[in-house]
Amino acid sequence: MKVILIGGEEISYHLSRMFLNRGYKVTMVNKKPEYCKYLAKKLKALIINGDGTDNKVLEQLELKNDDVFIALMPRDQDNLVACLAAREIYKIENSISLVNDPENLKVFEKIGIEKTVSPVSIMANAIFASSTVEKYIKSLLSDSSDLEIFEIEISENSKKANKQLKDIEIKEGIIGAIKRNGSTIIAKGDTYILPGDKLIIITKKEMKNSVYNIFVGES
Amino acid sequence: MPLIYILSEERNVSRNIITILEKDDNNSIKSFTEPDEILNEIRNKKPDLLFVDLKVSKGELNGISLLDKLKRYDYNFPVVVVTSLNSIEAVKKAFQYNVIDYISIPFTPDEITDIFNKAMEINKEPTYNEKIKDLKKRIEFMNAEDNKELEDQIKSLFYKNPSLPQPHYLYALFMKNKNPNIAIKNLKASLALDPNFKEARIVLDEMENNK
Amino acid sequence: MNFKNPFKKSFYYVVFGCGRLGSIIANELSAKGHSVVVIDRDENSFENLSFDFTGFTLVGEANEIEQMKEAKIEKANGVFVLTPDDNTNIMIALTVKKYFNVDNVIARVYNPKNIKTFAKHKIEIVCPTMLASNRLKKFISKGEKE
Repeated sequence: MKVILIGGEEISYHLSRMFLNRGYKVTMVNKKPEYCKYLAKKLKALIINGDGTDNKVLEQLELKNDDVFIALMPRDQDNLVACLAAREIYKIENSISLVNDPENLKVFEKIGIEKTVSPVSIMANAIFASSTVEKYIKSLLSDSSDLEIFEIEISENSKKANKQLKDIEIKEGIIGAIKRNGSTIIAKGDTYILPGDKLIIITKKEMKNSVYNIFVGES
Repeated sequence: MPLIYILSEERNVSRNIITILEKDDNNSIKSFTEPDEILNEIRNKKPDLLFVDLKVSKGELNGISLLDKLKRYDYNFPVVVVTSLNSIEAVKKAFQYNVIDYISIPFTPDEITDIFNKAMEINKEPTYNEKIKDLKKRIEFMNAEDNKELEDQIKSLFYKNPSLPQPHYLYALFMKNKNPNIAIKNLKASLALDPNFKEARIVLDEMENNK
Repeated sequence: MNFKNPFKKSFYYVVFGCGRLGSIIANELSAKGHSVVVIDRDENSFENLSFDFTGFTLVGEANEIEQMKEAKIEKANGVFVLTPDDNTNIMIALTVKKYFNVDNVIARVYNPKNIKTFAKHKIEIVCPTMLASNRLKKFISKGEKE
């Protein structure tokens, strides 16, 4: 099993290093001859200079169906064609594509490439999540009379660990956000509550204890 | 024989509509590029459907001002505005003038034929004025049986035309003998909406003198 | 509406790319009395259209979903994908067929090896390279017989 990285520059370089450090075999394909020379000097990966959407190049890669195929090119249509070729001609099950235009995420899904990563969407969510939660909390603190905001950390043993938000009944409060590994997530129905999560909860003052007890305490 | 007028400076707008609608030999279609021209033609002969491209703007008149003139001269036929998606503001303005729908560019043949069919359906319905005349007659000759149905028809006029005086007037006539106070209230409401409404004034004076 | 001849109905077509081939197709569709929308990222390319062309033109990136929605692609009776780039054509054709559910899609693909990518998805292809090579092969056979 090997990892194939098609295109990309910085991302491709760092991913390659990461996989090589973990002992995987890595093949990189890049259009630019100069960059390929550079990669060959710096990394112990197999470097191929060519167009990852070209069948002639793909044939050189000796693809097997347990390979991991990652498309990182700047144009979505190139990533799509490369992943389709990998799947349909070489029967690769594990292909992942970078998607630059978030509008194309649903298109990729419809066409059958389900594993996609959209940096634009991730950045946008991060920006909106952090600013929204901050604004929200500030406004509540300034004019709340009977509302209380507090944080609960979910332990391994918590009754509600590893459950989805929609399966947790909280009648007297809402989970505004979840702090996890240094980033903030706006909790939605299908978000899982994981051990180690810090939940930011808003309730009425008199309901604080009963909401607290929903999460704390053993299953 | 449906008569259709198109006002547009863009050849592709008018040509497309003509090509689509002329497939039915019964249709007669004329296209114009100048608002003044089309206004004259409308005075000569009213169309069964008018397409107005909101981008038109020659001389003093543009698409919206044409609609304004049509309203003031009380021309009452279906109007459809044609617009590009960037001018939603213009479309909103147009809807203040009682257009039946809008079509955005690029448009498909089906969109045009659907709107044409809708316009022909609307043309078959009696006009507002015809409805008023008809209801007034029925009130004059009404008997106990059709009271409820008459009342419903008058009420539906209220809903559809809340700022017009005639529904209040009709309701007053309907209630004249049953409940004079309500009738007077409605006549006054009618006159509040249009102080020059002669028929309402006459009936109100008559009722107040009889008190 | 009563169509005297129901087969004279106007259809709605979308053409991606207004180069040599795109403009020929667009002109043909317009001349036949159909409604056409042509999309190209370069507005100068519309100069390839004939004087009698009465369709609509849109300037924009052909492979963007927003652009396709503006062209009302979901209402198209047929779609021609004729940009100069194979991968772009493949993605547009698949998007139109699978995401917008338009059945009649035909795309130009220069590289014969790319034809395999389409095979499974039932998208019609015109491959100029293959058409030319078939024609040339006939020419060669003709020469050999003489």
